[in-house]
Amino acid sequence: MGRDDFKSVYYRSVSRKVTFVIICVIVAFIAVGLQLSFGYYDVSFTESYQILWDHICGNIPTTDIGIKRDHIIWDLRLPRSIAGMAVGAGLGVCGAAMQSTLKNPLADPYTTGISAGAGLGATISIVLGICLIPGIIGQPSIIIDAFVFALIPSLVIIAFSSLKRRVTPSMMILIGIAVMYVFTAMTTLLKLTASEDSLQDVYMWSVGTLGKSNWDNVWFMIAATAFGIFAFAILAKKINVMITSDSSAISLGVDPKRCRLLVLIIVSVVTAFLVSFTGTIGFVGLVAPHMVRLIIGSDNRYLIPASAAFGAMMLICSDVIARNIGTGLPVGVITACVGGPVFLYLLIKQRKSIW
Amino acid sequence: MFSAEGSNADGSAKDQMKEEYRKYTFRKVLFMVGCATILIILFGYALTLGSHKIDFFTVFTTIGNHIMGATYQIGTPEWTNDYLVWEDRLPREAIAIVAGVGLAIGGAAMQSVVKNPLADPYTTGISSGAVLGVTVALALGITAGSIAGNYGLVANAFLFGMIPTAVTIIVSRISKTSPATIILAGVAMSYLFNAMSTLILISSEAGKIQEAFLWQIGTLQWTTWDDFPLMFIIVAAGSIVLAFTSKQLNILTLGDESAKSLGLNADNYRLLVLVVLSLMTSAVVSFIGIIGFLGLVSPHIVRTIIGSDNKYVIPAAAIFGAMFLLAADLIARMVINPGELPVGVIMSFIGGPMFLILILKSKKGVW
Repeated sequence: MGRDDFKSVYYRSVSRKVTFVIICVIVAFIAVGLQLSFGYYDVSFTESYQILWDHICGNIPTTDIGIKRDHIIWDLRLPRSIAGMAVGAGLGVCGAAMQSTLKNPLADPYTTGISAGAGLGATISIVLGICLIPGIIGQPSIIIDAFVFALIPSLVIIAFSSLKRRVTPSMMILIGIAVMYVFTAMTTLLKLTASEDSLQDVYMWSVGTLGKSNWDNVWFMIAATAFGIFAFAILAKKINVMITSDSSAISLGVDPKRCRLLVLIIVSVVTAFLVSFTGTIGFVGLVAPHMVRLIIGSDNRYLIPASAAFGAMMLICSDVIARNIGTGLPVGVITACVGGPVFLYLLIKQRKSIW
Repeated sequence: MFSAEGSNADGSAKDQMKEEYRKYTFRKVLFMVGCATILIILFGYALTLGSHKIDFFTVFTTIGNHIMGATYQIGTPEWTNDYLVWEDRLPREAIAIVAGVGLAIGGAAMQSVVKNPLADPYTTGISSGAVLGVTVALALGITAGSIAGNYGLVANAFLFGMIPTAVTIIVSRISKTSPATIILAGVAMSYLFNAMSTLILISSEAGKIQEAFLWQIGTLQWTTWDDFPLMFIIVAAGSIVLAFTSKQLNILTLGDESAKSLGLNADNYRLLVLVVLSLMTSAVVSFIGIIGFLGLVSPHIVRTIIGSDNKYVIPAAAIFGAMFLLAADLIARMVINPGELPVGVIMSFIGGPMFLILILKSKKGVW
């Protein structure tokens, strides 16, 4: 095989991956249009893009009906779509990074106990009415408590890692699990003492929803996700090296322990931001990276951006379906119902081992 | 002369090795004996508790007499003791031991089979299957073979619990029987079944939701002798199979290639272990609900103490699991009286910090 043959094979493999990302982005874009057009007030699919474009260009119509439509699309419906994309992309990218660095297909953004921590924080705020920053009550208090507690398990892992010379990925996972169980047990205890109403609030929080997004909190999610994608895109090569083994990573000039902790910190911060606003949305962070792996392989340089695009697409499509089937249906249920069988199909069809 | 010296040196080296090996096994046996002793003491103590106190030794003589076939005249103190110990208190403790053994061995075997420290007996989706089974029975009133009442629930939980495992096995047979495929197929099935349960529960009334929710939190509170035989037979048979094949389990952890070169068909063996441990877990879950933590963490705790040789991990995890569940159940009853805390909460509170300390103290890499 000549040099040109190699080149063309390589280009084909790269173009396959790029095509996949582009398709995901296009599907997500169409889903946004669908999401914007559905609702109590009817706006057609193409009109919704038209209204968006007008708003971005600055020529907001001055007629009564025009202002109303602009308000509905831009202020009421768009934040949810953006939150869906940001959360899907953020969880997808964090899941991919976590699975690669911990070398464990069962890892997801919540593996190190972030969801249990956030759950405990939210429960403390809802049931006991305590906020870590005094004087704040209601929704902001839940967000603050969830955020702070979500970071605790990762801090424990970091503290343990500094105490021990050698820390394997499995050990990090197990430390996270131990903390997770203790936190979950505390949450259960609090729930046992809770009133019926606050119990329902806790349950609704833990299921996860995009419904609470508005222009005030969507910026945090966008910023967190953008930071995550950017950071992991830079770290992708190092993560690739780390997958081989710790000793070869060292010989290639990557400190596996430090790199692992860095990834852990980034995942914790990004996920903590997302979780504290939306609650624990499951499935996407765990399964989206696997589906991407089955389609385009496990090279982190492509896996990480592709997981972001695929995660965003998956979550926003599920949200569109969830809103159309019925009110109050958790988006996670749809993601699992649609994504589960697709995932099984991909598993059966897999040609190479991805792990 | 040289040769004599040589053989002497050989001899002492051999003795030293033997000595080391003895110490190595001694530690493991000591751990098991220690756990077993605590188990027996806790078992006896748990039976003395209740509104009518019976002292520690009477408990054991009463059990002994009952097994020997002693009968008492109704109304005598011996009869009361016998009734309280045998009919009222013993089922709960006996089931705690069987469930602890089943879940801990299931966890140890699953972790070895899929080579993943995050695995537990529920990894192939048994728990979510069982939950769906119970939800279907409670909310829709559909039970396997239309058995009504509590046994309908048990039958449904058992059968639905086996579905995800069956699918996982089929998927891994069609595709590759790699550990990752098993895990991922299990994950997909878990999510799918949980989602179906949620869908059913959303459209049902509040009372049913609460019933289904309460079923999920594992408890030993409502156990009677009727629950015992089936669970005992399945767990006992499964434990024996897994204990006897623990050497193969060790080989499996080396990797499929090495297993093959050592004459073990990794794929077939993995499926055998999966089927056995799924039956065990399903039997436990369908009677007492989902008890978390135990299956995942007790094998790890055992490994930090005695290492990861499955020949010892399997029996040690069994004894430790039984002891742990019995102790947690005991504490759960004593903390608030009357009433009780979920046993899983107690296990997490005690086991979590204990596990952290063990990880911190562990010198060699166990994983």
